[in-house]
Amino acid sequence: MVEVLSVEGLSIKYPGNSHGNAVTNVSFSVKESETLGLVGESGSGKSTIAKAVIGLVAAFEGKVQVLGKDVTNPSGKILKQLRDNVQLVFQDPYSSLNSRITVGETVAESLQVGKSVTRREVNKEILKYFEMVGLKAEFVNRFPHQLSGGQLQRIAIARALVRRPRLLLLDEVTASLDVSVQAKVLNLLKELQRDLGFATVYISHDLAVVKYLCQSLVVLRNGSVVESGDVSDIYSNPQDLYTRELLQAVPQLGGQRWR
Amino acid sequence: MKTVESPVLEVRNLHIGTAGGISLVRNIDFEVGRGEIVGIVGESGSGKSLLTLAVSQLLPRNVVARADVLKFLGTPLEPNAPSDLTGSLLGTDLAMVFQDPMASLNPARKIGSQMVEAIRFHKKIPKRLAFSKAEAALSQVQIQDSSRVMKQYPHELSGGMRQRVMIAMAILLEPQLIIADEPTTALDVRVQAQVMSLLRELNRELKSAILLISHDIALLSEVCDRILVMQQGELIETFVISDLFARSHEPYTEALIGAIPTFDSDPEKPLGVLDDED
Repeated sequence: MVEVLSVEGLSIKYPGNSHGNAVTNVSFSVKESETLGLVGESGSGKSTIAKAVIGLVAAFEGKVQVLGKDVTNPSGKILKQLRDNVQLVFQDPYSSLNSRITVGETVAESLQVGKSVTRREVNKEILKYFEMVGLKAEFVNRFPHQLSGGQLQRIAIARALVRRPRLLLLDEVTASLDVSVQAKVLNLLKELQRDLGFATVYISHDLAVVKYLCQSLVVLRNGSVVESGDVSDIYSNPQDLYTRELLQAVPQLGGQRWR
Repeated sequence: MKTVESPVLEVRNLHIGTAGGISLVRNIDFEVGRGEIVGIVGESGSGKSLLTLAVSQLLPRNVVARADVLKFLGTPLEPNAPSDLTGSLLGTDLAMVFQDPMASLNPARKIGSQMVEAIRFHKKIPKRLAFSKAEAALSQVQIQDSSRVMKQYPHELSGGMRQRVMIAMAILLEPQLIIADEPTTALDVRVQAQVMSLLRELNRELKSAILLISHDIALLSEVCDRILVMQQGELIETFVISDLFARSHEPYTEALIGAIPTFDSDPEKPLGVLDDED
């Protein structure tokens, strides 16, 4: 299978901060149709890594490759190409969607960037993607405030998918959703990945969701990798004390550990 | 319904609605026994937070509540907010811990002075005594360096430390009931585990009952004696924790349980979903 993303020895510094790195020497790779979990607590650097992959923050050291092409600190044509291949979905759909245009228009904008397509084609495509993420055609003309959090997150996913990305970066996309809505979004993501074959980097602090969704895993602490590998290996036999602590802290249904 | 002997909190036929007559919460019956930990699970908009606000007399002014019985430690409560909180149970026998400690703490004042104020609002004791009480409460929630934390501002503390401070403030006057509304939702998973075991220990030590609100039934099942399930303003089911797997539940409860990915979930199978309109 094709390697879609490869990150090698990535370090990131924040400007003006001379005390240590935000991210230090992180390496991992993701193949098509595969989902990699990037897990860690607040401040572990997981979102910063995603931003570096898509060129929103500068890498200080290391190399980012997408489909074999070096895209470290991209600019110009490389940046344009990169953002066709890689799309990012954020945690909070309320703040990542434009509240002043309809959600159909939001998806249309994403579709039209850098392309000349007729209005008729655009309309057809939008409906196709609305159906793909499980939203009725009538939602096209609604504004963000008329939709629920789960529906908005589907719009954000549709907006990413219309670019036909080979890699989706999903940053805590279900963290603000109710569990029943989260279940729908997770089912949808699995189904879409099966149909479309994109690679996914799933950023989360929820280790149960990561176990369900991902095949491989990178555990981060203070910007460094503490453990990485196959999900089933790490969950059944975590090598690092920190990973073990994280896994043990996850509430389990009927666990009764604090009774 | 099984009744609890001499409950800390007794609620019969509680209704909450807007002043304009829109019903928000209907026909709620439950009680919390002494020293019991009761969980309320429900999704956004199920009314679980409104319910606790009615009990703690903190409902917004445009929302009204009525109940056949609303008793705290055997004394009838007026569910609608009194204009003057002096002499109210809130902060003494009844304490609240909210989700966001940053929104509950005063950012411009040191932890110590806020805690001393909380004590002296209810009890006219000398400042010095209140100060040492506050410091003791911080030690009780396992804050190692309590004398230093007393002199710090909220922004100098981590999220977990702030939530510990909130819990310390809640236990200052040894409440009979602590209502904790999503107290760990904003915290990292390891910190959540620490806060939960802390709540459990305080429950054992102080014999305070706890009413714990969460959208996470797995979390509740780790700590609660009983779980109440709310859906769209109604209490649809109550069960003791030993019945979690021992008997079948309301379809909505089953769906809530099935929707949560666990370490045992089969990645090949879709998660359970609720049939509702999208």
